[in-house]
Parts: sequence; C-alpha cells; structure tokens
Amino acid sequence: MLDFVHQSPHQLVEFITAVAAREDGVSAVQAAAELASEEFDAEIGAVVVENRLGAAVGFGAGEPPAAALCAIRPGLGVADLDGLGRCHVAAASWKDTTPGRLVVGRLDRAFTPEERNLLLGMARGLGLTLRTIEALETERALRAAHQRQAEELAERQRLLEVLLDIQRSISHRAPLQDILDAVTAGAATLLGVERVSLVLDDALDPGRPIVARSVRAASGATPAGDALVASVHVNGQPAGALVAAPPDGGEFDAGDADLLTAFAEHASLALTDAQTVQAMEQAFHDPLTGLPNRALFVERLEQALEGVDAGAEVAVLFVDLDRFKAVNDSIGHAAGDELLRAVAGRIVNCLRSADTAARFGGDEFAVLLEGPKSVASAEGVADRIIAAMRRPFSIAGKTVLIGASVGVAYGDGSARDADQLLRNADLAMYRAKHDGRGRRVAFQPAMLTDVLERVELETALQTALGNGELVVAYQPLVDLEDGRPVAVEALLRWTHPTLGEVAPSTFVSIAEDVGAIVDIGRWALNEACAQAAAIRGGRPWLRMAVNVSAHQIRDPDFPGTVEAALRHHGLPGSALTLELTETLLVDEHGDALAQLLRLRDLGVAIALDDFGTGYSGLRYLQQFPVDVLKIDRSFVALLGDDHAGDDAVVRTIIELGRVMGMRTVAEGIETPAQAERLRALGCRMGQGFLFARPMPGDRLGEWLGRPAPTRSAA
Amino acid sequence: MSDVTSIAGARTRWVGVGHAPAAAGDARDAGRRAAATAVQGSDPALLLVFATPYADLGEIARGVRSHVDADVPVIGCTTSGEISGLTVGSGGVVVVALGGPGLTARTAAAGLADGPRAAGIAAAACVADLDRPHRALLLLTEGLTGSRSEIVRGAYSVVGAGVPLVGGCAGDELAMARTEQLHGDEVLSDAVVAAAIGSDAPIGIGVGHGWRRVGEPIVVTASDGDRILRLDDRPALDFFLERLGAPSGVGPEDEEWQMRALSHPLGLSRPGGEEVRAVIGVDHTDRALLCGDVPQGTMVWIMQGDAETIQAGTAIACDEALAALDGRAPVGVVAFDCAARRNILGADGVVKEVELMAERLGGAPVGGFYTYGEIARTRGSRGVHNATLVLLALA
Repeated sequence: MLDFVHQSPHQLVEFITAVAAREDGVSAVQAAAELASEEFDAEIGAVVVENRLGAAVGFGAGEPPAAALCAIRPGLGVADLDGLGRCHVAAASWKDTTPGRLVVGRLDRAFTPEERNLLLGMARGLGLTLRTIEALETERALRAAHQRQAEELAERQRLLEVLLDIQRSISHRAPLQDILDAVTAGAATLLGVERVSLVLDDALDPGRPIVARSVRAASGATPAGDALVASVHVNGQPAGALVAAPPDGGEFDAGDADLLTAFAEHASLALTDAQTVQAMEQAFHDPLTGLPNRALFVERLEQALEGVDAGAEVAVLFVDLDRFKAVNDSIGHAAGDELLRAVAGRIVNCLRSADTAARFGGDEFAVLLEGPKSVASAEGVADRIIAAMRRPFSIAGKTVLIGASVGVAYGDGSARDADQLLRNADLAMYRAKHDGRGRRVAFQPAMLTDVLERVELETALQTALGNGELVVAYQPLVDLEDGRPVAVEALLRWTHPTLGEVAPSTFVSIAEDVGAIVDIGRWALNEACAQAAAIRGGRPWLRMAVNVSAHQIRDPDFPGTVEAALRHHGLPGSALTLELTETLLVDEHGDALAQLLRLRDLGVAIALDDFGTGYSGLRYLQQFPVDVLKIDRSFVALLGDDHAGDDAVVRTIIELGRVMGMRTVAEGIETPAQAERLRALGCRMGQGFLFARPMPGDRLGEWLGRPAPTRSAA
Repeated sequence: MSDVTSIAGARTRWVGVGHAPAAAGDARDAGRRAAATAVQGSDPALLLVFATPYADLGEIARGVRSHVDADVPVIGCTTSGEISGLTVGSGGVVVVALGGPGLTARTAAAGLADGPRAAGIAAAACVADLDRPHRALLLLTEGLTGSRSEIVRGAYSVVGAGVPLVGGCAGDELAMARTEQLHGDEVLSDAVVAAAIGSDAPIGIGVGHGWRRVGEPIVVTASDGDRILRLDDRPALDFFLERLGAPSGVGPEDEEWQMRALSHPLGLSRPGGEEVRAVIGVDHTDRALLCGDVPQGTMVWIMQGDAETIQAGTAIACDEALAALDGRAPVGVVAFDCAARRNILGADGVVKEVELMAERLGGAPVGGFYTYGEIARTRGSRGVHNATLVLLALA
C-alpha cells in the first residue's frame, strides 16, 4: 500500500476513463461493476441504481443475490452472499439525479479506509458519468427527433411552395387551365404518381363532367389498388373531385390523403373565385350559343379516342353554314347572333344526348358522335342536320333561309388522334362545300392527296402568270339560225410545265384562295379585250365574254379595272359581256348588286353562267341586271341526240328568259339534233364542240373569217 | 526420448507426463508415444497436448487419439517450447494426462470471431454440471491476440468467484505468425479451448514472476488495448527507451536495444502485487510499444529482473500452488511459463528452473509449455499475466 497515494488518483482516472467510454447507461454500469472489482482485486463488484441491482460481477452465470447486495450500506463491513459465504464488503454511494451505490466484496481480506475513499471517488465519478451518458442519450434521441422533424419540415416546405405557387396564380388571375394544370401537376409530383385528374361537374351540362388531367397515361390501363379521391367545392357546394391513381404496385398512406386534400382545397379556392367560375365556363363553352367550345370539344374527342383501341367508335361532323355571311349582312349582326343560337338548337335536336355539339366559331359547328349506334348513323345525322338547316328560320320577324355543308370523318385506323380526325372532317366539309353545298361528304383518304396536290398547285399558280403558263383560249358563240358567230367566250387555260393541263374549275378556286385571282383576272380581261379589239374590226356586233369570279366582284376596284381595260383597248362597254355564276350572285348578293349596277353603267352586259344549277330564286333575276342566261350543258345533254329527250328544263329557261327579257345561250351543244331542238324551242344562241372547240387567239381570226357553214338537214 | 514418470497409486488421482520429439520425424508417432508415456493404465480424465509449432498438430492429435478412447477429452495448443519433467526443449510434443477416481473433466472450444468476451463465455460453459467439490477452469487461448482480459472477464462472468481460472496463451517459437489450439481431434486457430476440471481434492494454483519495479511510476496516457501509445503523455517508445537509458535516435536496425526493450516488462500496479505485462515488440512508425491488456489511464512501472530474481518468482509460484493443496502432496503439476522468462533465463537458467520446480514440488511430475501469456485468477476478478509462471497443482 506504499504507493496508494500515487496509485489511487490514477486508478480513479483509469476507472472513470473506461466507464465514460461506454455508449449507454447499461453498459457503463456493467463496466463499473467489473472495473471496480478489478481495481480492488475483489471477487465481487456490483452497482445498485435507485435501490435496484444494475450489474453484478463474481456470481457466475447464476442469479446474483440482489437483495443482499442492495442491502449493503455505504462504508465498510461484511456480508453473507449466496454461494460465496462471508465477504468483506465496501460500498460508496453517489447522490445525483439518479442516486446509486458502488459495491465491492473481497473474500480474503477487508477493505481499508483508503480503499474505501478510492471507492467513494469512483462512485462519484460513476454517478457523474451516468448523468453525462443519460444527457448524451437524451441529446441523441433529441437529435434524431430533430432530424425527423427537419425532414418533415422540408417536405412540408415543398408542399407549401407548390401550394403558394398555385395561390399566386389564382390571385393573379392566371388562365384557369394553367391553375388546374398546376394543381394536378403539383399533386402528381408530390404524391409521386403519373397523373392526378380533376373531375368537375359541368354546370351547363350536368352529367357530363369536365376532366382536366395533368399527364395523359401512355396506355389506357386501369390502375390496380385504391385511387385517392378528395372532393372539390365551389362556393361550398360539392363540384367534383381530385383523383389520384396509385403508382403500379404501390399504395397510398394517410399522409398522401392529407396532401391530396390540401390540393383539393386549393383547387376549390381557385374554382370558387367568382371570376374563375366564369372563366371556367368561358373556357369551355361558347358564350353565344352555350354549346361547348372548341377546347371542350377537343377534350371530349381525345377522351373518346382513347377508347378506340378497345373498340370504341367515334365520328366527327364538321358543319359549315351555307350563305350565312350573306344572311348575316342582310339581317344585321344582332339578328345573326339569334340565328346562330337557333342553328345551335336545331343541331342539338338532331343528336342523341350522348353526342356533343360544339361551336368552333364563326359559322362553323362540330358534332362528336360516340358509340356504335351514333357512329353507324353518322351520315344519317349529317343529312338530318342539313335538312334542319334548310328549313326556314324566323329571326327578328324575318324569314331566313340558309343551308349547311357537312363533312363526316370516322375515328378508325387512319385517324388516331384528335388533330387528324378534325383535319379529315375539315377536308370532307371543304369538299362538300365545293361540290355544290348543301350536302354531306364522308372523308376519303384520297382527299388528303388532293390537298397535297392543291398545295402544290397553289405554289405553282403563284408564278404561273409571270412564267407565261397562262393562256386565254377562245370559243365562239354562234347564232343557231345561221351559224354565224355572235360572240366569243374567253377561257383561261393553265399549262404547267410538269403538272400539265390544269382544269379552270380547279385553278380558279386555287387562284382565289391564294389571292392571285385579281391579278390573273385583270390579265385575262386585258388579253380578252386585246383580242376583242383585234377581231371586232368589221364585226362591231361581236362581243367578248369573260368569266368573272366572286373575288373579282367583291373587289371594289373591279369596275375601275374593267373601265381601264375597255379604254386601253379602245372598246365600248357593249363589246364586253361579263359571265358570273348563279351561285356567286346568291352568295355575294348585296355587294354583287352594287358592283353589277356600276358595270352596267359602263355598258357591259351581264350573263349568268351554268344557269339552272344554282340556288337563285326568281327574286334574284328580278333584282339583278342580268342580260343573258346561259343554259348549263347538263340540261342541253338531256335533249339527247334525237328528239325524244327531256327538254323540260331547257324549255323553262328559254321561256323564263323570254319573259324577263333576257337572251338565252345554250352551252355544250354537241350534236345537230341538240342544236335543232334548241332552235325549235326558241333559243337563239349556242356554244359547243359542234361548232368550235376553244382555240388560241391567233386562230380565232382565221376561224371567224370562214364562211358560215350551211345548216345541215334536220 | 521419453521420460519415466512416477505414478501414484490407483486409489488416488494421477498425473502422467510424456514427451517425444516431433518436428524432425513422424508427428503422429510422436503424439502416440508421448501419450503412451503419459497415460499408464488407468482411465484418463483429460489429456493436455503441448506441441511444437513445427509439426502438424493434427497428425500429433491423431497419434494421441490412437492411444486413448474417442470419448477421452483432449485439449492442447502450440508452444514456444516444452517442459517435461527436467527436460526443456523445442521441437517436441508434451502430453500431460490426468486421471483417477474423483477427477472429472469437460472441455469446450470457442472462436474469437464473435469477440473475446463471447469466446470466454462460450468456453466457460463446460464448467456447468461439474459436480465436484473443487473445480478449476483451464484455458488455452490464441497467442497473438491482445484482448485476453476480455476473454477472462467473459469466463469469469460464467464461472464466478468460486472457480479459479488457470492457463496460458499458445505460442509459436517467437515467430509471431500463427498459433494453434486443439480441441478433441480438431485443430483451431484464433480460438479459446477450455477444460473444466473437477476434483474431490483441492486444486492449487500458484503465480510468481520475480520482476521488480524500477524507477518512478508512469501513467499510461494513451493505449488501445493492443499497444501502448503514450506514456506520461509522450510517445511511448521514446519514453521507454529513454527510461532504459538508450541514446536518442535508436532505430529498428538496433537489435541490442530491441532486445533490451523486450527484456523489460511493465508492471501494472495492483493491490495484490503487480500484474506483469510483456512488451513483445515495438512500432517504430507510431512510436508505440506492442503490449496488450494495459488499460488507458493506469499506472505502470518498468520492471527488471535477472536469473536470480526470476528463480525467486518460480519459488513463489511453487509455494503458492502447494499451499492451496491444504497439506496434500501434489500428484502432478502443469506449468505455464512465459516465453519471456525462458529468454531471460537462457539455456542454463531454464534447466535450473525446472530443477528448482522439481525440488519444490516434491518430485511430482511436471509438464507444461512456454507461453505468450498466462492466465491465473485465484482471487479478485483479474487473471491476465505476462512474464509470469503459473502452476496448476493437483492432489
């Protein structure tokens, strides 16, 4: 014991160092019991914490005598311990937040007071260490909790940022679609799913919910597992729901449900905002008619097309109103709006409740047919619509007549997405319009090629004039009595170097579409006037007839162009006849009348081409300054090449002309029999292959100089 | 060459010691012969095999097994030299056989892979159900591990204060490469093998070293269980050499100072006397001493000794072991002698030591080996020693 003075501080240090190195209270107490016994060369070591045995050493694998050990009082003494017998013991306690006692027991010799002091130091050290360890453990737990909290906060932060974004866009009156996209996209991102859909009741169309989605699914697979649904309110009333489908094989938890609810509340806010409700309706409905607008139509079309792979049937009708513009001009725009509303009503009446009618704007309407029954009867529906449009409308006390051209397109192999289907319906409708209106045409794939060709022609036509590809050909009109020429019709011809000969019926409408008609028309007029000037020498009765298009009639400068051409070539107005189509007259109506009157003032004669094929009522003939009616070749063909043909229409037109003081010219006379019949019916003039084919200007003079053919025997 | 040993009468317990050279020739035969010498007639309760690392321990074990039944417990290990009666040598195998009425033994083995404390707990399990008035647990451990205190704590936590611990750490003739342990017929390494011995007569354990403190106490300011890193807050190696009087700048090539360092163990201050720790090497990079089981914060002295003092330690061990036999004569003694003491004693010294032991132990047969560490717990709860002689005496 000589060195106890040296030893004991270091023993203390050794003890405390070893105990403090333990990570937790339990192992620290175990270490303390072991180390205390080792330090004192004692067989027994024990730690009592709050009167319960914390650890004991020296009793082997069996149960230590807890009661006896806990009973050992601080200080020096002896104790009887099970299995070992009488032991010298020493104990020292520490008072702290958790008081305890350090106990050692030796079999062979008693503990000295100095040893007891060392034990006391160890006990105090142990108490301190236990308190520190406890504090460390608490801190560790706190830190872990803080970590979790921090993570939750970060998560919440993200959520708040997304929601703030949405609120900001709501208060900044961002477009409703943007807001709804932000809501559905934000929810989808934070939930970690592919899409979240917002399903809203359509106040204007209950039972047909509007569905806005954040992302369209690539396939139409239905999700397994329960979808999350959070209801959306507008002005406190249930208005729809936010729906999230779980990811493949995944499930939602309570946290996800809360999140979706938060988003649903924001969607509710956005929608409750009075202006956005309106905007919603506006966003999806046409304000004038209340029908779904293009956006909503396309939305529903896309929905419907998603089911096509699974066998769903879809058809689209494009309805274009004929003569709406003319009517609108004559009855005024307020009445025009009323007319559109009436049209909308009639269209809807032609449909099943599952079908959708929409107004695309202007006088364009579209119909979406879904389901086998509806689709099978698509063309019938189109016909019903056309018939409905043909019935008179009573608008603002006036009776109004319009018509409709309808294009029909089916959602099948050739058109898989909405854009394609709409384009097809558009092309079909365009064809219906150009094939004469008031009819329905179903889309044919060839129409696409036609469009492509047309585009090609459009490009070519724009340079045709400059390239000298256009020529004017001339076809004489003759007196049916004696065969002598009374007029010449100027016919525009286009020969493209690679595309070849392009029919006037094609390129004139193309020319109108590309805006080239005015230039081409002026050029043609001048050519014809030049030719007229050349051939009229000695034949002052000879008139030159030039075809005029709707564009030219609409052009306010047109009378001036005509006057300039006449003057330039030194021709009187009476040298010129302008030929218009019947339909042009009907379409252009008011504008046309004024123009024609101005042209008449120049002395120019007006002829109605293709008479009998158009829509004009007798009123038009009365109103318009028409001098000549040209009987359409289809009626002349009916006369047949014998005398047994159907001459009813021809007779009627000739009589009409006579009654109204108009000359009649028969077009397309190909056989002597036809000429004979016409003559007999009182038609004075004719034109056709029987007499002469259209010829170039340089041959015209020669032809005109020929002696008149003798009349063949009847 | 085998030793002739005396065998006590059949009515009492007996201890036999056999020895045969094994490195040069047939290991299996050596094992058989050593066993044949150790076991003479009566039913053996336990065989201890201490073998040179230069022979195949498995072959030796097969040789031993060929002489006893399959159910006779056998444990053993490699050594840093063998002790057999008055013979001390290397390259051989020593077999110590214990038997006779009133003597039971059970064995166990455990790997250190799960940790030294768990190994100690598992090895000590063989003490259970040993129903004899006197019991002891004999441990043979892996020699190249630094955590023997944990093995001992583990064993102590199972056996408790009523069962002394005794034993030694396997050696490999100072190669410091690999030691092996034997359990039954299985050769292990990095393991602890144990034999719980129960006897009707007292079992005596003696511990002695003979080292003396030199100089002032030193505080171990930093250690990691395997190495002492700082002494009195200075790099341990530098401090140590300085204390030993070495000039500064001693390096690895300086063999003389190496040997000197190794010949000065450290003594841990303990109430019952110092626990000695051997410095088995130095770490020139970290300036550390390779010395295990020295806790941080403890106080140590540098120890020194010579042949004389060490012999004095031997005598202390013998006397202590005998004293515990309560007046009975020993029938045999197992010796666990530190390899460091063998170095210091030298060839002559070890012969003197075994002669001293033979004399002090009354001619009882002595068998044992030179170890890398010794285990002895007769009081307190500690039991790890170095540079010490531990004797297990049976009566």
